[in-house]
Order: sequence, then C-alpha cells, then structure tokens
Amino acid sequence: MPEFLLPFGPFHIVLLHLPIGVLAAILFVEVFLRDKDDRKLPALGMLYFLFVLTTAFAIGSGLIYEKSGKFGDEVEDHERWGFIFGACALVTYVLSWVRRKKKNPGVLAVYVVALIATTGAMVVTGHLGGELVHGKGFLTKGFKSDERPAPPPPKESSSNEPPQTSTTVSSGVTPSVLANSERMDSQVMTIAAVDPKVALFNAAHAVLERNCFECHGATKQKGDYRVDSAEAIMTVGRGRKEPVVAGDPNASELYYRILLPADDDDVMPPSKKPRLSPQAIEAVHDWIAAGAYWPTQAELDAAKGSHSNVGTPATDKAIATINQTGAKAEYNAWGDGSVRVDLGVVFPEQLGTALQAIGSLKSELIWLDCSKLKLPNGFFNGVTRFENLERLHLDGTNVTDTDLAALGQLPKLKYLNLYDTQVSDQGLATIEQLYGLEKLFLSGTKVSEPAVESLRRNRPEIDVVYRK
Amino acid sequence: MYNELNKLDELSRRKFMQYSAKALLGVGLASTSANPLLAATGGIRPTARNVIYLYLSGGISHIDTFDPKPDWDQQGPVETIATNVDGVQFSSYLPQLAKRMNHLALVRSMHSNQGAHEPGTYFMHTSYTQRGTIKHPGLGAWLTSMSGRTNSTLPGNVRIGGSNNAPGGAGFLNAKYDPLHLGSPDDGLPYVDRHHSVDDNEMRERLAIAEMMDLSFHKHYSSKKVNAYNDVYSDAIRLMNSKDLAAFDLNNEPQSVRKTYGESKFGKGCLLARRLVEHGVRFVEVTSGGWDTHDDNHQRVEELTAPMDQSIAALLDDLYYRGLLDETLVVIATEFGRSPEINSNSGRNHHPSAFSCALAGGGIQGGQVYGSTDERGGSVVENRVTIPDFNATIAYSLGLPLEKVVYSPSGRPFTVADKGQPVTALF
Repeated sequence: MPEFLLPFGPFHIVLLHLPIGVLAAILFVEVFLRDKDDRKLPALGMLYFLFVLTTAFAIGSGLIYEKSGKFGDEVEDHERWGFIFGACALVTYVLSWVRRKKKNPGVLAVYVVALIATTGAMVVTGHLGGELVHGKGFLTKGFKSDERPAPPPPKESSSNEPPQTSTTVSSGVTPSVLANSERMDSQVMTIAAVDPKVALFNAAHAVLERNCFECHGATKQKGDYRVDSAEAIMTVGRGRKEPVVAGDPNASELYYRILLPADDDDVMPPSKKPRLSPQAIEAVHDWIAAGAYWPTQAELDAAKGSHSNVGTPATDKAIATINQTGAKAEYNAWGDGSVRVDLGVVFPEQLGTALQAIGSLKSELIWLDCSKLKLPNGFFNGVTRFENLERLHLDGTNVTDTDLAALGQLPKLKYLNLYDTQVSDQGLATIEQLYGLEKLFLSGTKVSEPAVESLRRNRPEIDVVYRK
Repeated sequence: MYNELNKLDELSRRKFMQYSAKALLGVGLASTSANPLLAATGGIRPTARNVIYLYLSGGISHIDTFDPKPDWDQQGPVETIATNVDGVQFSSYLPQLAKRMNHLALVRSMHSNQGAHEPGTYFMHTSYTQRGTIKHPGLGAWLTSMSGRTNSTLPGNVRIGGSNNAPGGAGFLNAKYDPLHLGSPDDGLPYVDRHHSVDDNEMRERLAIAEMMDLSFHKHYSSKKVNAYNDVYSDAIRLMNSKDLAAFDLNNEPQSVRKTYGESKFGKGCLLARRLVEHGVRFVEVTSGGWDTHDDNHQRVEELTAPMDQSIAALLDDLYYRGLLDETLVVIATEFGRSPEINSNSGRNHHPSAFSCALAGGGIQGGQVYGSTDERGGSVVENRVTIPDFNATIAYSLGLPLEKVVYSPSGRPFTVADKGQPVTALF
C-alpha cells in the first residue's frame, strides 16, 4: 500500500456513516413508496449508486486504517464482516437493476432477501466496529446496573500476615539465615545489593512487558492507554478511571481489570488472550502496594550489574579466550555458573592454545566434549584438575586403556562416551572402578561382549550403551 | 544493607527476598542466561544442545500411525501392534518405531487452531499465527540467536528438503540466523568449491577488491540490514574454508550405515542431519512431504510410513549408540492430524483439534505417552498441548529463556514460544 494513503485511514470513522445513512434511505423509500414504482425506481437507482460508492469508500479507508496497526487481532472479525457487507451490497445493487427490468415476483423475493441480508451484515459490521472504538459491551452498558461487579476477594493483605515473618527479619537475623543451603545463601547475598523496590518493579515489569506491551505500548495504544513508562502507566486512558493508585492496588483500575473473570467485557488481557497466572497477578499487586515505584534508568542499570551475571569475570575471560580458538565454551543454561566446553570444533592448529586456555578453568567446568580429537600427551593428567567434571566425551579420540586410569580422580564423573575408540577389556576394568558413573557408551570399541556383560552385572546402576 | 531493609514496610521486606530471587532467576528485566523454570522445577537440567526437527509436511494421520483406535469403525484396514513399552500401541505401519518407543515421549494430545497447510505450518514453526505485518522467527533462529553456534565455521541452522522460503526462518531477527537450505541431501552443499582457475591468492585478491568496493557503501549506509548481509558473506567465506565441509558429504558414510537409513530422500536427510549435528550444527530440520492424504488415505499412509519408520528408527539408534541422543532433541512434528471419518475418496481430511507429535532425546524421559484423545481420535480428552506449549517444551529442553522478551524492529514484543508453557512432565 502506498505510503501517501496512510493519512486517509482515520477518515474511515467518518466515511463509514455514509452507507449506513444511504441504506436507511433505501429502506425508507422501499417501505413508504410501496406501490409507486414510477417515482420510486429512479430514486432508488440514484440511492443504490450512492450506496455502492460510499460502501467502497468505507471499506477502502477501513483497510488503510487497519495498516496503522492501532487495532490488534480484534479487528479481524470486523474486517471479515465488512467484506461480507460489501459483497451483500454489490449483490443487492445488481438485483435492484434486475428487478427494475424484470417485473416478476421471484426476482422481487430474491431482492428483498438480499436487502435484508445487507442490512443484517451492516448491523453486525457496525457493531463490531463500534466495540473496537468504544470498548466491548458499549451499547448495553447504560442498561446494566451502574454498580461494578465486586472484584474477587483480595488476597491476604500484608497486615494480617503471620507475625513470625516480621519478627524473623526485624529481630536482627541476617537474610542468610533464611536460606537453607550454601548455594541459596550465595544467591541471596548477591541479590541483597539490589534495591528491593527495584526488584519488585522488575517482577511487575516483566509481567507487563510480556502481557500488556503489545497493545498498550510503543506500537499500539488501545484505549489511549499505555503502560511502558512511569508517566504513561499513571495517565488515565479512555476508561476514565485512575489506572494505578500508588500504594492501593484495590483502587487501581489496572489491578481491578486483571482480576476480573475471563468473560467480563472489561477484563485484561482481553477474553481471547491467556489469563495472567496467580504469581503474575501477585507481582503486580505487590508492586502497586509498595508504592508503584518506577526506577530510573540508572537504578535499573545498577541492579542489572549486580544480579544478572552468572559466573565470574575470570571465567568470562577464559570463555572468551577459548572461543577465539574455534572451540565453543559457554555457561550451561542451568543458571549455576557451570561451564561446558566443546573442544571438538576447535580449529585443528589451535588445539594447543585452546587446551592452555581451558587450563584457566577449574571447578566450574563440568561438561567437556573432545569428540574426534587427537589428544596430545598429558591431556589426561591435565583433565584431573576439573574436580567437578560430570560429562566427558572422548568418542572418536585416540584415548587408550592406560589413559582411563586418570579418570579415577574425577569423583563426579557421571557420563563417559568412548564410542569409536581403541578402548578394550583392560580399560573396562579401570572403568569398573569409577564409582559415580551413570552412563557409558562402548559401541565401536574393542571391548568384548563377555566383558560388557560382566560390567553390567557388577555395576548394574551404570546404563551401558553397547552394540557390537 | 540491613538497615535499608528495615526502613521498608512489612510487605516489602517479606516480598523482597521472594522477588529478588525471582528477578535473579530470570523473571526480571535483566535476565540473561538463567532459566527461571529450571529453578522453579527444582534441579531438572535438560541436556539438549541440538535439535533434529523432522517435519512431516501435509499433516500425518495420527489415527493410522501413533494413535490407533482399533475399536473405531472408521479406523480402516491397519492393525494395532504392541510397542516395547507396556500398554502403548502403534499402528502396524510403524514396526520399527514401535521397537524404539522406549526412546520416545509421545504427545497424543496436540491441539492446533489452524486447519490449512500454510497457516498450520507457520504456527507449528513459529508459535505465532500468521500476520501480514510481521514475520516471526522459527525455533532454529531463536536457538542460534540466543545461544550461538557451536561450530564457528558451519551454519548453526540448516534445513534439508522442503521449500527454501517455508516458514520458520530468521523472521524479524538478523538475516544471518536464516537456515541454510539444502534441496537434496545427496548433493550435499553445492557451489562451495572455488572455481578451478582461482587459487588461494587469487581468491584473497578478489575478496579484497570486493571489500574495497563495499567500503564507501558501508560508510554511508551502515544499517543493521547492510551489516547482516556482510555477516552472511563472511560466513559463506568461512564455510568455504571450513575443515568440516566433509560433514555435508554422505559419501563419507559407510555403506552399512547408509543402508540402515534407507534410500529415500528423507532417510538420507536424516543421515545428513546426524552428520551435521555431530559436527556442531545446532538445528537441522528435515522435511518429508506428501502426508496430505485426502485421497486413498490407507494405501498412501502405508507407502509413506515405510521409509519414514525405517529412517527415524535408524536415526534414533545411530544417535543413541553414539551418545548423541542425550544432547540432541529429536522432534517429530506435523501441522495437524487427519479426520477420524473417512471421506468419499477413502481419504481423511485436515484435523487440527487433535493429533500426535513426538520427542526423543535431549533429556526427555522416553517410553511415555502424554495426553490422550477420545475413542475415535477426534478430540483431546486429557492434557491438551497447544502448539506454543509444544515449542516451549523444545525451547525448555535447550535451556532457552522462555520469558525473555525480544523486540522486533517495529518495537513489538515477542518471546520464543509466545505464551506457551513447557510440558515439564516429559523430562
């Protein structure tokens, strides 16, 4: 669609009334000049011409208006009915001519049916369009009782919480006591640097970002309301009710709307979209209850720096160095700062550099993939420093039976892949002594079937994957 | 710090811990690599690194394959056979997969609301319904953009068979995440060799000249799109020089292995997919076409399943014995199922409201069936899984941050699997 047309989109709101008026005139003429064909038919001819013309303008401008993106998916029903209405209008126009030329009752009947269908389609289209602009249920709102449905019972407010919670905190126990394991402890301490108000905001903002921004953000502002900045979220939209009352969720229209039952006309997100989870609703509630504080960019940046980092700067540096050699190092997606290194994809001439770089990792390395590499002497001595190593891929490497002895120093080793290697029964005897092992791959090796059977018998907890 | 804490009202103090933890674990703005769901479900650590996405294009008849209904009078001629997992039955068209059910997590309660091929395929690949105003990225693009490539010289995202511009490409993300399309697995990667008259030096000179010519253009128009094209070119050069080009050549594979996969195009595609994943390609989609059985359903499904059954079984075995299945998620997907009723051409029509998909590997617990359909396979009666849910499960196994909002260039917010929730029961 050419750009220059876009400004004409809003004219849809004006143009759409013309076919409505003309259709009303047609109906009027049809009904009140029933037996005066000599006066009626010429008048109708003109009216029909005007009807089709204005309908075309209304539909055209509507399609342009849709491109503005101001309305979302809800516009689709209106659009579909608009096309149906347009088709009906055309058919009725043609039939009105047929009827003028051929005076027979059959044609007249078909014409009347078409005219009624057109009127019906117009009512539906118009109503759907009206709901887009004025909100769902706008037509009948005046008839319903003025009282709004009471919001669902508010969740337990902060005032009647079990008292021991507050005593725990205010009696001078440091947050670390609340944590029940060492790992949790370190996390709490890391977050402790974040302003709690910012943390509350982050939780609520994540909910808004995921569920509301699409229609109340930069690209669309349904109901003339948007939630993507501190000022905007407080600014009253077309709903004429204060969206967010700092400190009082139950007086905030935003909170009221997300609590409404799924079939309510006013519910947010709208009926067709997924409901918010109880946790998400709670996050919004707590943020508003705590004063709906919207941090400045500087505060957000500060918070970001202090808690989003998995791992340490030293590990970051090692990862960067390793990745320059073509090998792939990264934090595991488990959020625990552990590292995986895929050495198999290293540029062959840089294997030495990569191995050296891996040497700067230690306990954080828990997954090492050496598939298809020609490992240099001393590799297995070096590997023993990774005391937390859990997964080791040696498939397709030059690993020998004697090399495997070093693995005894890896107490956490769970997964060992020896597919397509020269390992034989002798190596299997060493493996039998690896006590943490849970999964072992032996296909394509020199081990014998009886030896595998004996390993399976002696260490039934190991899942041995083997075929001749 | 503690004094700061004391100044706050009661609520804030109590919630402070809770929400800080949430923020830390990735719900907040600043989440990067931490996956909130992992923390929430307590220590499941999905190990998927790569995805082999087997797409049965056209809509496979679930009743004639993964979800047989022996008591339904329009089941047709196919028999029901036992699998190697107690209580789970397949149709007799899938004898090989039936022996590998212990690897599969079968979802019999898939549900889509798109009943035509193009929108259905689009929805399956992107988790969003098709729109005129935006192109959504596919899972391969999400994966490579969020988690990067493993092999720096090979593309991270490859598509074998199917159409070059099928949905599920880079979408609004950077063009460099578009899948590399290989029309035929036999041809490997065409046009990757230098012309015989161009030696190393000549090549370098030519590249230098091209760069010189581009220089002023880049200076004047340094937009994202221009840079993206530049990235695509330099990726291509790196690919030409890659030591791993052999991964694309099926001739390097022993005859005995090639035989297990079969001679079908799909079988070769599966084999190529395994080779690519082995060399660090992260997302490979292999398409098998022709499942749109409006006519003569029973005979055609029988003909189509024979090579499909053989190839997927061979792929699962191969991955399993090599130890690749742990870190490779195999997905068997389609856009919709087919109607329980047989039509007048003895075919079955489109049926999006209930169908089957399957997952294997990548930390998935094999040997389980999730969800079920009614006695005729017409609607889901238990544990409905929507398309976004299914894709969220894939993303979850890869450790992708499901909550992370990514903005399109026009400023619209999107997430990996829209608002889908992962089916954690499968892990």
